[in-house]
Amino acid sequence: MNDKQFHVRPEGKGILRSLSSMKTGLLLLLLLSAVSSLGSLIPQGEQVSFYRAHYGELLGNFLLLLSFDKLYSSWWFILLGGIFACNILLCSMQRVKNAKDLRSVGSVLLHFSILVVFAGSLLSGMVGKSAYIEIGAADTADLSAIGFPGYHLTVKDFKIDYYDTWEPKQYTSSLGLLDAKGSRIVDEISVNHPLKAEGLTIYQNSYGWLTKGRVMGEKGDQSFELINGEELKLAHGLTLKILFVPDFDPHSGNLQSKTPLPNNPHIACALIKGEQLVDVQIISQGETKKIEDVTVAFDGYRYYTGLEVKKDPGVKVVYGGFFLMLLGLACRYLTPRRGQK
Amino acid sequence: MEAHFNLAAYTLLYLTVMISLISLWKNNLLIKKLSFWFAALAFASLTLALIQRSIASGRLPFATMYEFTFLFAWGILFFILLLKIKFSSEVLTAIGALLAIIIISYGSTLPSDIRPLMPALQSIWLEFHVVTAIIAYGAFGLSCCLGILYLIKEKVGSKGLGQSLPPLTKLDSVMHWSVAIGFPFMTLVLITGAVWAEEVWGRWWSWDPKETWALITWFIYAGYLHARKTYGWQGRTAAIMAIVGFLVVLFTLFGVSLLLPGAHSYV
Ligand code: HEM
Repeated sequence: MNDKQFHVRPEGKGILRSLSSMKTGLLLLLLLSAVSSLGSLIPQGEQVSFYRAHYGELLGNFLLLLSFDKLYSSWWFILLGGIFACNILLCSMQRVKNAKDLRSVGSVLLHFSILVVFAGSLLSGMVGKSAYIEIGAADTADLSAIGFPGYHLTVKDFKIDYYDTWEPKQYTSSLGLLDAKGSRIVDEISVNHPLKAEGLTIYQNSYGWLTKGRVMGEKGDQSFELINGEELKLAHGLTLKILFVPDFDPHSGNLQSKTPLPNNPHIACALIKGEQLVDVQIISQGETKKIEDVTVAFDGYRYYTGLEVKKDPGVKVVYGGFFLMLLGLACRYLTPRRGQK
Repeated sequence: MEAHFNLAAYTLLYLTVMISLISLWKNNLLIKKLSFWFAALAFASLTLALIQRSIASGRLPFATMYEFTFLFAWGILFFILLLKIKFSSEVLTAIGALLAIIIISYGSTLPSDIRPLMPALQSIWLEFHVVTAIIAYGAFGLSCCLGILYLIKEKVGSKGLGQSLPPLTKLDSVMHWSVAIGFPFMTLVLITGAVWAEEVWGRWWSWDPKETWALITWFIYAGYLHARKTYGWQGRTAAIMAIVGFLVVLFTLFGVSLLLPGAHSYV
């Protein structure tokens, strides 16, 4: 078969005709390439001041005006994608009538699958949602706080496996998910193995330490549980900054943890007044120490796990598109040309 | 061991280039044969080096930029040798071997220590993603070499260097053949990457620079195939598109890692 005959001339006239032409298609491919590459060269999602500082007042403002800081979600990029989709749709509609053999059916399928992927991303953009949450080991979080009402998520345990070199091998959270109807799902998740249940997908994303302690004062104790590195505001413009050292090395004298395991847990407490560092104390678990006029007790520690929670029906559509694309590729490339072989 | 095999491959590639060039003015069947067999031996050494590394690390050599650079050269050599079923050309062997030398030389400057797989890389999709990329990029590398041959042939005609080259129409159709192999595999690279990203990060597409440039590569070769089909863009224009397409592949692989940091920067 001569493929050139298979390519039908665009029908109709005016805008519809030019929108369905291959020339427009090629132009769009070129434009999309050029614009996408710009988005990879101009840093995305920075602060407004960044662009003015980096590109100068004039060019910076121009870039901001045309949303070059959020290029891939700007109205004109999406419009370009929409025109591209129309182009493929019109082309495919014209060619579907002439698709007789498996090869040409494969080709039409291939084009159609691009539209399915587009539709899936559109659906994701409209109804898909995802949010990040940090939950301490043994805690339960009400997911309505991050936009998923009706779900309660319990983190029973979190653990890290290491290679001999102390490089991380896998992060694993043991989860219990309770939905509004009361059904409970228990599962372990790790990187590359998310939990998929009840339309939700939950990903292992991050982790860290929580440190628990008290600041003692005349009016009673103020207890805290802080994410490692977080600050605690005290009275009189004082701030307490706490660093957790799971395996403190008393001989080295620095705060580098010997191993990542909590073999010798300590906290380093820095007392800061305004911008000025007042004093630092290293406190072991169960110990109480005075930093200037502030008394701090270090009571305990535990992991928290950082999870990405997602509900997105668009992904199924996108995967459907991928499947059609593979099917189309197989039909197109794995069947011999008519009259050959 | 691995280093020895790499050195052997490197040396054999240099010999391939030299012998191929000699065969251009000494039209001798034995020398022609040698040019092919040196390239084949270089390919075999490179294969052994990669196997050796797999054994030493207990996994496939798919995880670092160093490893992928050698796989990339391996894929290009594979397709250069495979082309023997279409025609044999010492100029092509020389250009292919030279390309492999450049890639391997760059690869040798990268950190070569064997690292265990970080959690994000422990996925079956890593294997699919990398294997399809080796095939796609190998085929695109071949079409780039053929594009260069085309431009040479067009310039010199059937005199001198051109004597040893097949006719222009043949070069063009074989170039199309290799793009038509590369393109479906490039599609697979994008799909396997997307599915993997969805499994590991929960986002199948995030416009990370590497992703974006892979998509641009895909656009360019889609342009090549369509322009050829509907406008009959063949010959010189097609040759230039094949060369530009491969330059974009090189930028995706090396330029992006060096210049545009993103989620892919660990490979
Ligand atoms: C302007 C509208 C378009 C027309 C008229 C068109 C036409 C064609 C034709 C005639 C073929 C080969 C027919 C066959 O396989 O038997 C083809 C193949 C293909 N098209 Fe399109 N196409 C258009 C837009 C696109 C776009 C924008 C893309 C996505 C980048 C695309 C992706 C593909 C792919 C992946 C193939 C298979 C490669 C090949 O077989 O050459 N098409 N198209």
